[in-house]
Amino acid sequence: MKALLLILKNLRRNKLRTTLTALAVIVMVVLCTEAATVLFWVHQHVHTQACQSKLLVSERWVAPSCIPTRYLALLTHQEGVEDWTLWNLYTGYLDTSRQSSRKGFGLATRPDNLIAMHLGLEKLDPAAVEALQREKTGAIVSADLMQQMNWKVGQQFTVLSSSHPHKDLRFKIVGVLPPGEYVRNFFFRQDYYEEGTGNKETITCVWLRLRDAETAQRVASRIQKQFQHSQPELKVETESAGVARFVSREQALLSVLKWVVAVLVLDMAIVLSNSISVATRERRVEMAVLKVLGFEPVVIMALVVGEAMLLGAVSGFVGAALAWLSSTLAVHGFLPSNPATRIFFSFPIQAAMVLWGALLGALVGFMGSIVPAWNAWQVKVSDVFAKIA
Amino acid sequence: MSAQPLIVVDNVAKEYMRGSERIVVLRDVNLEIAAADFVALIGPSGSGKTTLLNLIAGLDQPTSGRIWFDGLEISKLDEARLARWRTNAVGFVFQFFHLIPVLTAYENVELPLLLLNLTARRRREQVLMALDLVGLSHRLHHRPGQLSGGEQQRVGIARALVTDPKLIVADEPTGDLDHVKSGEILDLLQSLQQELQKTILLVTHDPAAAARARRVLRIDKGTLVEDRSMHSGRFRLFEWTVQ
Amino acid sequence: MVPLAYNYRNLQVRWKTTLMTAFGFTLVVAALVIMLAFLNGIEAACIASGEPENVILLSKGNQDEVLSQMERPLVAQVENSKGVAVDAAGRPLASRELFLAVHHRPPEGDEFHFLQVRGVLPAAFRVHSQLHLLSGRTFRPGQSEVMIGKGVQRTHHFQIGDTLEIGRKQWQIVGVFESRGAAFESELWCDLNELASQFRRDGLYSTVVLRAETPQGAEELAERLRNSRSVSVEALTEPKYYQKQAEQTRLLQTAAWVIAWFMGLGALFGVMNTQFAAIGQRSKEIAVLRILGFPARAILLSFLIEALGIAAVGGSFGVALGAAANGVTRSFSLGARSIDFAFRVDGPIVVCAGIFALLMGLLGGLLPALSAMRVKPLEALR
Ligand SMILES: Nc1ncnc2c1ncn2[C@@H]1O[C@H](COP(=O)(O)OP(=O)(O)OP(=O)(O)O)[C@@H](O)[C@H]1O
Ligand SMILES: [Mg+2]
Repeated sequence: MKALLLILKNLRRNKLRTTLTALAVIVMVVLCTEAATVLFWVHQHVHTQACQSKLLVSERWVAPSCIPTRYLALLTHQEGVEDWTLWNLYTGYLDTSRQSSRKGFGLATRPDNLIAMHLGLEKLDPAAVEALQREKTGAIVSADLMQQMNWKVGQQFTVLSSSHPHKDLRFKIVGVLPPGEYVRNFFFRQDYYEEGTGNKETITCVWLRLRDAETAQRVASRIQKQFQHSQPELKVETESAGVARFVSREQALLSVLKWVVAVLVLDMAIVLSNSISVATRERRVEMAVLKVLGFEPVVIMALVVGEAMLLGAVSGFVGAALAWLSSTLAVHGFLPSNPATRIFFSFPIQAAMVLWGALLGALVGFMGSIVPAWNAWQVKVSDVFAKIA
Repeated sequence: MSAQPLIVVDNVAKEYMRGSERIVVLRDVNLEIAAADFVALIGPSGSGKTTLLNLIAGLDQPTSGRIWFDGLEISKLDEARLARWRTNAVGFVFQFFHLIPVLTAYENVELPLLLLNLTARRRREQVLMALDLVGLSHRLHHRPGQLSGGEQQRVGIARALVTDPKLIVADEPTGDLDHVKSGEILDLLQSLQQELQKTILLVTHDPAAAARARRVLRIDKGTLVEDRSMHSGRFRLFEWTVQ
Repeated sequence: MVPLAYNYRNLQVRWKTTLMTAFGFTLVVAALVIMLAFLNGIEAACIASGEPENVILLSKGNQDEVLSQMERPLVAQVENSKGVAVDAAGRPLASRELFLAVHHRPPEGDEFHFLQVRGVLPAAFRVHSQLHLLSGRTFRPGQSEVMIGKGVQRTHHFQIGDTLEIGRKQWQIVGVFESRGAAFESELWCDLNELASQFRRDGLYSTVVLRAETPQGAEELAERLRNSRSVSVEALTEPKYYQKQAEQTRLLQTAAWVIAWFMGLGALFGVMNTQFAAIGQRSKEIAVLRILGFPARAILLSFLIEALGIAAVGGSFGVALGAAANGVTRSFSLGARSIDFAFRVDGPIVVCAGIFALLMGLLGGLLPALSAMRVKPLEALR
């Protein structure tokens, strides 16, 4: 406790330096938090259990996929299938400008098990799903589209279709998707899709939920074998394998992102280390005095490390909290929509990241204080006083 | 003594505000200093010696009263013009030498010349001459850290005289030196006055130092209380050492 | 002016701090250079892909070949549009193409990935005049042969003579081609009719590329087709089409700069810290300089130069480090397709990064330098 007080006092001594160091760390942690959120998303989708027990069935060879509707019954009656849903992709422009920045991607699906079958919809208001079941032309729209198009729930909109020429559809907004998983998307009813586009023959893809990863593997190979000689052939992969494939396409981007995080962490450590070094150099005499008074070198070292870690942790906490705050504000429409804030719709920062930021800051503080602490350890009483005299 | 004094201090007062409290440091100071004189300023600690020196050297402005230097009223100049004037007119010697630690003796002395429009060659000549005068020709490329206290102070003096100013002010230049080294520095200052006709204004606590001067001013609680002209400095010194 | 030796030696004396601060800059600038080189490489690949004489046609409402579908009558009609160049035999220079993203599972390992396959007719080689063989030969129609782009060879390590399973057929690789770094290098080319029947796409095309006599002619042709009442297609000159594709990286560009500025801000605070500490330690020296007659702005300049020096040293190492990425090849997905590109560090990027570093040094050095300028000589020496 005493030590903490001493550390706090030391930090308060040169307020300017403490503030600048803190600012540097805060700024970099803001960035780190978002980058880590993206990397964490990837990790989670490739490795969680839920993603490994869910199968995505699509056409074997060609994208975009096209599965005959007659396959559906065969797929969903496989032994071990607990639940299923389907997607039909319906793309188009949301206004007459027909700019690619005004494109929306509709997913026609079953409304009844919408939440259960889709990752990241746990936070979707069940009332929205009920409304979708009541309203045939209903659509549940992603938060970023709502904000970009300035739409309100209850309003209607028309999609000028590019995937289904001359089949423009009109929708009524009955709910908003939680930010995160779905960006530029809206969900609507499969029956409305069939009626509106006249396409009852094909499905883009089918989702199957199995008991566990092992069953999923078994069912996947069974389906693949069963449809081996049909035309078109089917491809079955777990959701995590699908994400992994998607991610491997973005490998270049992800590796740049990883470098960025590494650079940020290193940079923070440098700034902290530099600042703590200056502070310890200024305090050489005091440290010598402490040693004369009988303090053990370990204690003196601990004071230096503690100072860096405390400063790092507090700044990390503040930085991550700022990032979380801006993410939350952006998602709720309190910040102007621009390319920089739109990232939060795809990768909203979780409140838990704030603790992670503090931890990172402390860690970086520790890294940065190793050298200065070593120097403090090495302070020789005789040297210091010889220089003074 | 020449008819026209180099420095005229007319009814000068200096006050400082410390919080809401007003501190009068100098009051009713009237003084004339002739060119090529060697003046020592003595008095108890806190009496205002440094303050008066700073005013005369153009580092500070009086609260009231006026100061002329060689016919120019320096108490009227603004800060930028004062700075330019200082480079030409006044050389400074400090108690703690205040050399720039990262620069060599040569570079330290050259520093004020960089403010004047001189060719590199001219600068070099002047620097070498100044260092020669203080007897440090063999230490040109040493850093202050590699010089003894006495040598450092000589570099300081060389820096003060390199621009060939009329006035050299020295605030306790021997305060940080031992007896022998002090003597050497004082010899040097004295020779500057005698051989180069520099006006020297020396603030000191050291009676031996004051004894070198041709005129001694004593200041107490912000006013001049004594103004004595001395005999030859060497004689006085002899007398003092005999005592 | 305060001599530069003064700044230089001071940086030298506290070299550990100087190097650490500069290293902060090095990292930030290197990151910036790499990010910009990444985007520059993609853009260069896109720009290289377009020949100004060519007009690319897609079905109405589509901006991407992957989703575009055009039927035979429409294609036959546009091929005979006015302004399309003709070859020696009097046939229009038009290339009908079918572009498919095909799943491929390499024999070892069981992860799917995409191969981008383009079915073409012989006319394609006259329309895409920049394409030429590096080794092997062109495919023979109907013989299940493919030729692969340089980028495909690099990423998948295919060799001439290898067979590939695409759809249910085995295809043999007979040649490798290049196309001045263009997007085509990330594709496999084969016979259009064979590909179409394989994937039940008979009579369907993704795109038709028309060649005009001149770039000017191409512009006019595209304009005419866009506004035509009789045909309903998207028509763009190739450079415009690929430029549009490259626009998808706009968002990344913004992101790169946002990241750079945030990082730079961190480095900036680092310099500030270092300089404030330096000024704190050297306030007496500053006072002496002022007393000797150096004006306040000389002090300001001196300390600014010092900060800039740190930034310049760190920045140049950063540029050098970032330039090491030059030429490294990766693939990147643009819309539904992926292209191979090489990180490209060029003059503008170096200049940009240099200015960025100096700007950060300047901003980081300004506040401390201002405070140095305000050092009161008499008080500092008391
Ligand atoms: N900037 C200032 N603010 C407030 N008070 C000041 C300031 N400068 C000087 N003083 C006060 O003015 C008085 C005279 O100071 P000065 O430095 O001139 O004394 P001095 O005679 O040189 O003393 P010493 O022999 O100790 O150097 C002192 O009481 C000092 O506290
Ligand atoms: Mg004094």
